[in-house]
Amino acid sequence: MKNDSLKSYYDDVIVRYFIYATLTWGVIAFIVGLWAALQLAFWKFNFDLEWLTFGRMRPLHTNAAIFAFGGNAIFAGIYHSTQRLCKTRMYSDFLSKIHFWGWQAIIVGAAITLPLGLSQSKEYAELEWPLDIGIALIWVIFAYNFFATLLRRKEKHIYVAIWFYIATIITVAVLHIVNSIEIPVSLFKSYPVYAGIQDAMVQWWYGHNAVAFFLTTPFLGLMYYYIPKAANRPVYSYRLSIVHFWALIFIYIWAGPHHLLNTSLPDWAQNLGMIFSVMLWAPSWGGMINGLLTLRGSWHLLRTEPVIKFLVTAVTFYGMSTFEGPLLSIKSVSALGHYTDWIIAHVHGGTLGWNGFLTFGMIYYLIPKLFDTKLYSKKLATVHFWVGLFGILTYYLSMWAAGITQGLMWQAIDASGKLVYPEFIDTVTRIVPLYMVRALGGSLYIVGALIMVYNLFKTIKGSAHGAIKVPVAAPFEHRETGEKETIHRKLEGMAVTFSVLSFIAIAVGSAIEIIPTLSMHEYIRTEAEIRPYSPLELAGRDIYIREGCYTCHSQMIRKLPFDVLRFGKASTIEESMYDRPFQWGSKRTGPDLSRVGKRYPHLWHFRHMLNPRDVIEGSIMPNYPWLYTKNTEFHSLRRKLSVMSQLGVPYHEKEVAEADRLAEMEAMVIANELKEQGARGEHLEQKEIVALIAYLQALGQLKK
Amino acid sequence: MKKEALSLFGHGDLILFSFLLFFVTFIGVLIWAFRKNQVKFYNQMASMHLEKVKEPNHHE
Repeated sequence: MKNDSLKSYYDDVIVRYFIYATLTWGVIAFIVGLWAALQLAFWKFNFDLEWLTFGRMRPLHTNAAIFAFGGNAIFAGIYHSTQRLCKTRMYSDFLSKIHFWGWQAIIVGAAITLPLGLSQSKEYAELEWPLDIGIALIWVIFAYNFFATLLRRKEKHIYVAIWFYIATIITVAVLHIVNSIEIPVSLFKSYPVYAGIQDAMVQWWYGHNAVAFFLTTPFLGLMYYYIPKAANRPVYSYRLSIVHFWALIFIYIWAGPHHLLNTSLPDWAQNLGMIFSVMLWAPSWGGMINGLLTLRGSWHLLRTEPVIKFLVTAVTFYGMSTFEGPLLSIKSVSALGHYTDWIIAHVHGGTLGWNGFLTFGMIYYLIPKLFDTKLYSKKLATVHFWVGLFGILTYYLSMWAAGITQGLMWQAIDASGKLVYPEFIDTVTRIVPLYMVRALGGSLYIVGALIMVYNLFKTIKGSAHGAIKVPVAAPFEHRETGEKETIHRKLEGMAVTFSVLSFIAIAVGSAIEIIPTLSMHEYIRTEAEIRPYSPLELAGRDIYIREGCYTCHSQMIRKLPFDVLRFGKASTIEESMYDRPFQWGSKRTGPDLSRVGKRYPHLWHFRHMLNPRDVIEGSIMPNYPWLYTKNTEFHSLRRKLSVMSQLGVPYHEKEVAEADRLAEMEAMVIANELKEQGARGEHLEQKEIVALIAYLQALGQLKK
Repeated sequence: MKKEALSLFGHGDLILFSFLLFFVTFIGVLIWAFRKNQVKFYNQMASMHLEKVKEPNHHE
């Protein structure tokens, strides 16, 4: 009886939980982002502490912003709108609670492990294998609860917002599971089953579609629900929404290779990624137009209603980002923009403007509804809007200017065919002032978010009744009693069919792009070309991964004249064939390191890692003093080589069995050379810096 | 050997197949979405979220 009574109300407790989590993690994610921005503007903000260096803060920021802030926001919206669109309470309150607490536990796990350097170094998929398993389990629980709710819905038809939720749930599960296939070495260390180009392709298939199916499709679902709700208008064109949905999910999945343009990825895959990215313009703008024109007849609300201000601006940013994304996917534009801060500008236009403002608009709409009251202050919400918008524009324009400036400086070649700015550092110091402006923009965005938290707190405190229970509404279409069972079965069939069709739409593109790439290694005689890393080099490589060096250094010289002039011969596929995970990177705050091996003596690296400014004036790289006191983990090397061997890396049995001893011998040689060159320190051969130097000196030197 | 292997990956056929697949799907969706007899249904769906719900009468 009690259960029946409960079922006649929507479960809004879970919606409120997710909103509170969104606000909490949002503020934290923004502050960590600001911190990382300050570290680039003023290197001393790294504080010489390993847990707080940029290489560890940056993944913490991206994970917190995407999965903690964005994730909790979409869950809040999905739980709220799905119940109302299906005219039923969620299938299980218990599963909803497991989803909520499980997701928060994963976020806390990320907040602990990432600063500790426990990272796979794959962007937006840095978390180690126990947390990967946790994410998969929690996502399955969420999916089960969602689909069970869908199957027992009282409403005959599935509204467009729900289509986007279905595509999100299915695709994120596929992306996460495929990209996270890894072999554990220890409790918090694993190696991916993919290597080099395979890993790059799978990772960016995942990485791009994390943007597509975690930061776009669910937010489009929220747009299709909350804009019409807030404006009290029907969707502009339901037909357009159908075309928008199918075209978007079909095309999006193909676009991943645009992150690897001009690299050693085969041209067919690059072209496929570029063409489908350009094609994305049409459905993306179709969706944007559909969202904006829903307000036809209600544009006056834009003057008076902060909720509408946020939602409309969010959709406008969606339009701008989805214009800029395909633009950057054109090979010649990518040649300029890739690895620069232009990409950072593009990403933040999308996240701060589209995801952030849509979330803020949704929460400003939801909180008064959930507490049956009015917003404490529309004025404060309007102040939040303008401060936040100014913050985004400051951020966006500064990084746009920084990216294009640096990109042009990298490309500049004089009449004699030489680089105009041969010293990489000259292209960095030029844009440092813009990093300061960026930090200002981020600060404004945070001020706006704090104003919102205060406004919502006062709204909740001021509500006369507290949180309300909303009764489940009657279905839109009333069915005949006699037909109920048959129709219901048909509807269940439709939901399943719809989900299967969505899966097929994303699976086709994925299969065509990834399967040929996965088979590439079979055709290359790597044994004849490249030697695997020595045990000490592998230990050093794991330190490089731990410190998040990939956040600032690429290991991929593109097939572009100015890249080759600056860094050496273009990178080839086989050079990274044993790289698990690959380290091609996506940003060059520092120079490419593919061919840094043997370019400098050991002592140069020794001094550089201790204080980069000793050897490069004006460097903004952090100091790494702990590498000179911490000992290399020689004891774990046998296990590491054994796993690598299982994955197909051609190590001899003897090499695996004596990995620790071989590494110690190699370390002794380098330590002695360091001492001869003038380095000081006790038991240098045991220190991590020696292993790291071994790895850096091997880069570009692995050809037999 | 390596060059031979890499030359196999022109994969123009894959690009063509991908285009055709998308084109057929897109045309199919267009025809399906713009069926003439569906106007009433689409209008209904476009307003689905706007129906009035009962005023909340319980507080937690």
